[in-house]
Formats: sequence, structure tokens, C-alpha cells
Amino acid sequence: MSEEKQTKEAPKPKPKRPKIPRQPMPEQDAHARAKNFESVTLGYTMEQAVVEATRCIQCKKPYCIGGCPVAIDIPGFIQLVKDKEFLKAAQLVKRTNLLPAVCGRVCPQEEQCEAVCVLGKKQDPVAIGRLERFVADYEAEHGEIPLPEFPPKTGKKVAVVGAGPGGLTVAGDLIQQGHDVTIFEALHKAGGVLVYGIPEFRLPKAIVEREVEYLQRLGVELKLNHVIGKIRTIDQLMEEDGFDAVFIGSGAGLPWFMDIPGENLNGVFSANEYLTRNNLMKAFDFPSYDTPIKKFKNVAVIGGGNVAMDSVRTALRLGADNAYIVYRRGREEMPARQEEIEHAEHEGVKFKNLTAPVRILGNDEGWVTALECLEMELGEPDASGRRRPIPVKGSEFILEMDAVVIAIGTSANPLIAQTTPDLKLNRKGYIEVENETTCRTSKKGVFAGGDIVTGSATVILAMGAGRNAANAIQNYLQTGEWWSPNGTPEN
Amino acid sequence: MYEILKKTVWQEQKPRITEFLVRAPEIARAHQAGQFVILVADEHAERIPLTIADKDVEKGTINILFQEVGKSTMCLGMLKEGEEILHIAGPLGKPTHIEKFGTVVCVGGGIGIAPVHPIAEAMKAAGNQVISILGARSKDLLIYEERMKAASHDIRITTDDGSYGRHGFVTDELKAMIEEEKIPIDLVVVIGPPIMMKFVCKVTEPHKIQTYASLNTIMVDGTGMCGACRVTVGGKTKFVCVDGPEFDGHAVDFEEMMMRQRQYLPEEKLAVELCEKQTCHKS
Amino acid sequence: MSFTTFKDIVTYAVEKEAEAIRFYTDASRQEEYAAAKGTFLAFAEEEKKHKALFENLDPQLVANYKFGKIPDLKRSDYMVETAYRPGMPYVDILRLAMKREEHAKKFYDDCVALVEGEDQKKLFQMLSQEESKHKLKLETMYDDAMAKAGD
Repeated sequence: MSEEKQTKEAPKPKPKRPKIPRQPMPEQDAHARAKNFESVTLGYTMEQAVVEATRCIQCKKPYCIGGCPVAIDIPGFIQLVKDKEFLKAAQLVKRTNLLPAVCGRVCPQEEQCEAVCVLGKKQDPVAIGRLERFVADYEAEHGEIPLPEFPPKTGKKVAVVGAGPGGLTVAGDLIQQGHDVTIFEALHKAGGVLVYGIPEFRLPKAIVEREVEYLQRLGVELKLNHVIGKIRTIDQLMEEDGFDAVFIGSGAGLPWFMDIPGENLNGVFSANEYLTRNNLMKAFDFPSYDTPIKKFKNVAVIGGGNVAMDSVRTALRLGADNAYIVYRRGREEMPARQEEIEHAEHEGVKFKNLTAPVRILGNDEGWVTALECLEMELGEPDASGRRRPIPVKGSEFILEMDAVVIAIGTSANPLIAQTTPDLKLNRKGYIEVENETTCRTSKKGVFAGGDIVTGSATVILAMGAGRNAANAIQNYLQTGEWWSPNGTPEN
Repeated sequence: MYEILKKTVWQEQKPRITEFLVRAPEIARAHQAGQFVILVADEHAERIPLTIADKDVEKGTINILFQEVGKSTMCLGMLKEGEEILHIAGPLGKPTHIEKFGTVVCVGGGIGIAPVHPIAEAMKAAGNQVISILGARSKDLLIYEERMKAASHDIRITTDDGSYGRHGFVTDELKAMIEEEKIPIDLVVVIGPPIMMKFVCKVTEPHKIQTYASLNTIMVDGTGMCGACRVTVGGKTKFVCVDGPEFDGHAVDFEEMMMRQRQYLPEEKLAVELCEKQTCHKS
Repeated sequence: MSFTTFKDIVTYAVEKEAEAIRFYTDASRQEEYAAAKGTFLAFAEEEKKHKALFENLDPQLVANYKFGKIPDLKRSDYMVETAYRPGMPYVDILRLAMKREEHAKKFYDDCVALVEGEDQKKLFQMLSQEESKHKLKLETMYDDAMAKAGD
């Protein structure tokens, strides 16, 4: 019986499954957590996990797997949770997802696996993300999964540029195919956005470290402090260092500023700087850690994405009296996850939507004193049907501020492209690939995926790209076949 | 990990000037004049940008030189020969544009002399007539004199207190070279405290002498990711770490740069105090 | 410059478009990558259409020109001046082009206020509206890019 039938028949008077509500996620009290960097969500207890797992109706045609960019066997692992085989469940998840503790926390499940959960048609979908997190955390606490068995060494060498979610996935997949894998990471810690961008209260750094250590146990070599394009070029890696294939997953790291007056005043930061100081460098623990950050009273964060939410919630935790989101569009247009917006609201973030910053004002010492804004209104729908915000005439107003964090987006870091002339870029400066399945660039043996191809996206999409790239690299290493972008075999 | 093979203390009195010879073969191999590294001394340390003063590609070593003016550099200075620096990333930044210009004057002030050294060497190798001006507060604070002699055709020294060379500033010497000696200068490269670079640029500007200034701003990642190092050059915002560190000195807004440099002075002071009280994590 | 005759104004407007074509074409030549080259060439093409439109202007055409309200997103208006530099990222290219259209529109608006004759006024209004259309087109592209990023 297919699951569609099952749901259709659900109202019929057959022995009905008791309707168990979706298990709520235990959370730290909003008031308390707004002042600390501890995890906001606490994770399911074993009992809650099992109860939640029983809600899964084990569809024969599980849409959830298709909704997952790395195609985790979701019903499979949930069944194991239900059977209290937690370690086996973790093992099953790890077969296709090397970073379950990360994904269980930061994936937008509401747009992916949970969005297509059949249960969601009538009630709340199964809390797949929370269960994924539970099994990963359980495994971390209760002993390690034995390392998977490897095929014999192939003698092929793969270089992975960037230890972010995409690169880590590629490395994990290819090391298990018997290749030698070396990751080159520019910063002094592996994890990319997982360590410099996402705050401790959303993703404890110990979790990222654990996942990276697992990769190293699998045999992946990690070279930190290696800025490819500077210490070595892609050509040198391939021609002199003997790498047979290269994956570029260097991310979209270049922050945009707004080009409004006052942006170089002291107290104006890119979200990247603000978050990197706090997350990678642990400035919130200054002076125990050497990197400083100011404790500002009034902080405005410009933007409505996840990075903006992370920044504004960080500002609160650093002790801001007032932390604002200043966003030029309406709330419904915010690209941030609903859950993050709600968390921010509960913690006391003040939202100034339909508000556009036009000028940052400062004092004689060069410090920010205020942010001048304009009210926006939505214009008539244009050809695309979109109602774009338009400034309301004469609506200028001043918000007192001592810091402004700009979180309006990033673009590709050009360091690699600048030193790899035969790498084709698209109009927006991202690396051009044949398509998202093959991840082939214009340069033979070089693959790319994640934000450096798509522009800023999510952790799981980068991991999905990593999975595709790993398959394509495996195929290339086995066959040696390469097609130029117009489809002619080149070999 | 990057082993300290040799430690030289150039100047004992505070703030100390220390030089490390560090094993970093990959960095030595890739480094070009004008580039810098970012260094993390230990688990709790900051990422601090430092310029490479010298290198030996065969031996796989680089020389880094710093003055112990803040907590991070003080902690770094506590490391001994045989100990290791946790992380060094580099080379970073764009290399100096090296070609045959004609007569090139390399101006180094204080510990800025160290990063000028590889540039002078490269300029000389490219066939330029290299004249170097080294400035220090007094004779015993002068570093790298011998190496700079070897890297230049002619060398001039100035000290603020007159204890060695010309009594005065590097700008006095430069002015005399231009106005009195009438040396036709094609390019000036200057590295040193921002205020010194600003005044060197003021000297060369009326004479339309092209001037490269290598800026030393606050940085975090050093790869273009954060923008902490942004400066205004010719009215446009640039990132020192990826667009620089060298810029057309006549277009740099030094006032804004100095203002931005002062951002963390109170925090730096606090950190030093705690460190001196031996309450920091290093003790 | 004197804007006394219809021909004076049209000649000026045509030269302004020619300058824009040269600007974008030069920029495209300085770009290393095909993608950025393409963006600038596309802008040059847009300006060529304007140039052709203005070259063929006659008083009758202006008299029949349809005026409408072109929405102004004012994305460019609050931004600082910007200049071309080789290798500038895509959004910066858009900002540069938006700023140029903003200036062109403002210039023609100023002219409307300066000239006396109704015909001249109308001609400048038309030129202003044409620039407004370009500005809207660019600001829409920019707004789309930025909305996606969450600005």
C-alpha cells in the first residue's frame, strides 16, 4: 500500500494510530540564553527521540530521501531509533552524511526533507533534523562507530581546496574510495563557515572538530594555513605536486559593503569580521583569548539572511542593550530560516523591516554614533510580479547606534581565479561548471562546488555539491575521461 | 608547527625588537618581495600580520621580525629557540611590482626596515640603482644595517636623536636628496609607522615621484574575507590584505587609516596590563 | 554649451551616449574574464540602442513621445560615487552603471528646469525618461541580486 493511499484512508474507521504530536525541542530559556553563548537548543532526550521516531509511518516511497541533498536513508535510520539501536542509526546516517551533528543543527529541514514528509499534509512532519542530531550526538557520547572498510589504495591523489562543508564531504567520500586526499585550508582551523561563521550557540565548535577528526582518522591529510593561489597554485598542485584531480570549494568569502557614506568609521564591520572575531577567534572570551571585540550598546545589523540573524544574536550575547535588524524588505522576504528569525525575536532582537540604511554618522574620533535610515514601501508589482521596496519621500530618521554590522551578502573570493587563468568564471564571478552533477570546470581534472559556484547558499547544499563532485571525480579517476563543456570528448 | 631555529634580540630594552628564523619551506619557496604572513602563536592567540624580512629557499627558512608592543607580540617574544609557532599562513598579499624603474629609494622606518629589505634586494636584482634610507629613534634601535647595505648601492641613515647618521627624520634625508643633491628619483618605496609614510608621501608628491607605501593595518583573516583592514585609496575602499599591502602613497587616506588603527587601543592596553600582572593565559 | 536649438540638444545627447558606449567598451577590453567583458558589452549595446534612438529623433517623434511614470527604486541615489577598476565584482559593476544612469537622469532633469521653450523642455523630459528606464532596468537587476543575498 502506498503512502498516498494510506493518508487517504486515514479517516476510515480502522484501528487508528494514536496521534502523537511532534516532540518539541527543549530549549534554553530565551531570556537566559540571550546572555550566553551556550547552545540554544538542547537536543532530544532518548525518550523524546523514540517517541518522535514512532511518528514516522515508514512510507514505501519515501519522499524525504529525495528531499535530502545527500540522500540519507531517513526512514531507515528512524526505524533504528524506534528500535533503540541508536549507534546503528548513526552508522547508517554516516554512510551518506559525514557531518550529521552539523546538519541536524543547521540544515533548513523545513525546506527539504521535512517539507515533503507525508505526515506534513495533515499534521506536523516528522522532526527528521532533530532525530539526525540526536543520533549523531548519541554516537559522540557513547563510543565511536568502527571505521568503514576501505577498498585497496588506488594510488591516485586528490587535492581539496577549502575545508568547508563541501570540501569535507568530497574528502570523506573519496578517501573511502581508496584515493589519497589532502585538504588545503586557508585558515588555522578546518570547517570553513562552520567554524568562522556559525556561532557557538547554534553549532558548538567541538562538534565540528569531532567531525574533522573523524575524517583524519579515515586518513585524510589536512594542511592548514594553506591559501591556494598564494602558497601554491592549482597548476602547481597538478603539475608539480602530482595531484590527479582538484576540487575547489573555497566558498563565497568576499563581503559586500553598501557603498553608503560612513562605512569606514570605527564600529562598522562586515558580518564576516564580526562573526570571525567571535567564532573562530573566540573574542567573546577576551581577554582569555587575545582577539578583542567591543561590547557595544546599540548594534544595527543590516540584512535579513541567516548571517544577519547570527550576527544580531551574537551582538545581544556580547551585551548589547539594543540589537536591531535593519532590513529594506518585508519579513516574508527574509531569506533567513523561520526558526532563526523566531529565536531572534524571542531573545529580544528589534526588527526594523522596510527600513533602508542611507548613511552612517560618526564623531570626531571616527566612531559610529548613529545610522540614518529611510522608510520603504512596496511599489507596484513589476513585470516579474515582484513588489520592490521604494523609499518613502521625506521619511529619513536617525537611530542612535555605536556599531553597524553589514550582512548583505558576499561574493566569490578571487584568489584562486586570479592565479588560474584557464578557469572559466560566470558573469557574477563564480566558477563556471558544466552542470551541478558533474561539477566539471573548464580546466581538465578540476572540479568545483558549493558557494564558489552558486554564490552564498546553505551548508547542506554545499555538501550536496560535494557529494556530486566526489562521484564525478571518482568517475574521472577511474576512466580518465573528460569532456569539454560543449560535450566533445577530450581525454 | 613552525620551529624557531634561531632567535635574535635586536634590542633588549622595552619594547623589545626580536627576530625569529623559522622553518617554513613552503612559504619560503612561494614568497615574493612585499608579501607578508599571518601568525598565530598559540591556541589563544590572535592572528597577527607580520612581514617577511628575509628568506632562504634552499634551507627552507623565513625571517620574521617584530617589536613587542602588544600582548600578542609580547607572548610571541617569550618563545625560545627550538620552540614552535602554532600557525603561519602565507605568503599573503600582492608582491611588490618589480621592474627596472631607474633609481629607486627604499625608505624604512623603525622595524619597517625589515620588510623593506626583500624589496630593496629585488629592486637591485632587477637592475635598479637602489638608495636606502633607514630611520631609527637612536643608534641602538637601528636594525638590519648590514643586510640593507648589501641590498643597496648607497645607504643613508637618520636618527631622531642624532646618535648615528643624520640628526633628523627620513623625510629630511629624502628632501635633501631631491632638492639639494638633485638625484633623479624614479620610485620611492616606504614602510614604517603610518605617520612617517604619510610625511614621506608629502615630500614626494610635489615632485611627482611615484611612491609605494606598504600599509600595516589591523587584520583578522588576511585573505579578503573580513575587511577589517580596509583603507580608502583614491576615494575607493580597498582591502590591504588582498589589494595591497602596497598602494600609491599619494592616494592613501592616512588620516582615516590611523583612526582605524586606534580602534582597539583600550583593549590592547588592558591585555598588556593583565599580561604584565601574569594573569594572562600564558602564565 | 548652449541648448538653444533642437539640434544642439540632440547632438549633445548623442555624444553623451557615444561616451557611454566608449566607456563600457573600454572597460570590457580591460577585463580579463569573458564574463565581466560580456556584462560591459551588454551595457554598451543598451547605450547603442539609445544612441540610435536619439540620432533619429525629430520634433514630431518627441511630440508623440509617450510619457509615463517610471518607478524609481533609488538604489543608486544613496550610494557614494564609484569608479571603474579592472576586475571589479558583478554587483560593483551594476553599482557603477546605476550611478552613471542616475547622473544622466539628474542632468536632463536639471536641463528641463533651465531651458525656456516648451519644446526643449519636452525633449529633455523625454531624455530623462529614457535614462530613467535604463536606471530602473539596472536597479532591478541589482535589487534581484541583493534580495537573494538578503540585503
